Amino acid sequence: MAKYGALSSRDRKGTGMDRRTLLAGVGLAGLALGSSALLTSCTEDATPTPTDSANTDAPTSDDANVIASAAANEVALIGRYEQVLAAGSALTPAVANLLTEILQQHRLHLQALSVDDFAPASQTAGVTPTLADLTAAERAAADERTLSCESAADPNLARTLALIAASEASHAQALTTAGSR
Amino acid sequence: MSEALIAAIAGEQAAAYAYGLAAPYLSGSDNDLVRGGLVAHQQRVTALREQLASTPQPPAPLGFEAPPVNDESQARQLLAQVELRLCATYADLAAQSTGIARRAAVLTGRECAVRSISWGGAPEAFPGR
Repeated sequence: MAKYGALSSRDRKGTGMDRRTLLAGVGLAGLALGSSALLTSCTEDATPTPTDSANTDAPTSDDANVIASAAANEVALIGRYEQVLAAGSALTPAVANLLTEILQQHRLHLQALSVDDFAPASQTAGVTPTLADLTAAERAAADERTLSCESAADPNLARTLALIAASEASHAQALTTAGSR
Repeated sequence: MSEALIAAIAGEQAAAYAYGLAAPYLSGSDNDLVRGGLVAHQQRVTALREQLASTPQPPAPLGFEAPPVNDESQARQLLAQVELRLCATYADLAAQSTGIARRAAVLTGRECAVRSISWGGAPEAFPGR
């Protein structure tokens, strides 16, 4: 059962859109004061439940290919971050923290794609990627996720891929900012 | 589709309003970022309204509740949050669209994600979720 369905549990219950409309139209006030509560409730919503799984249709074979290709790319990204962090010595603590956080987010992407058994990335021997390499890889990943999203049949998969594309675009921007400091 | 479009229109209107609130506290090189963001959100409202072929169009909101913005730090925080939330709004729109419209929704969400970081936000695995 695909976990990516769990990210949209509120929408399947028919309540997600109402709340988002409310947030968008009314809730700027929540941003400064109440945002942590909102984020908490969103996180809880994202927790997979048996109901979610039961309601999620098995992916079509085309979607299975979309998922497999996105997952393979996430695995490759995870490998590159692990390589940089393992080499580690030249990183400032701030950059190392950022890379660790981004690595963790790629693991969450992989999880959301519901790929539990994957071959670990073959550690590419040789040159350790630079920040610029990682930035380029994130941009390419965001582009790939955008294309995958277009070919996804399941709307829930499309939503997940759209979120991952946005996440990876933000990684590229954060790495650019970190690199220019 | 139209529900997600209406939500996106409302989110873009709120974002444009937030830029207006924040702008007085930002200066120097931030001015370009403010101008770029404001214009982008205003243009999006127009584009989304065109996409929403049905009538009646949702009315422009009479106002928005917003947190107090009294200094530069609060201004940045507001804009980072507004942009972050739009990422999820556009992911919903992507889910309910197909083809070119879906691609446009994903690309717009990516732009919001980038602006959120520019305003000091931190990357998230599922931005705005």
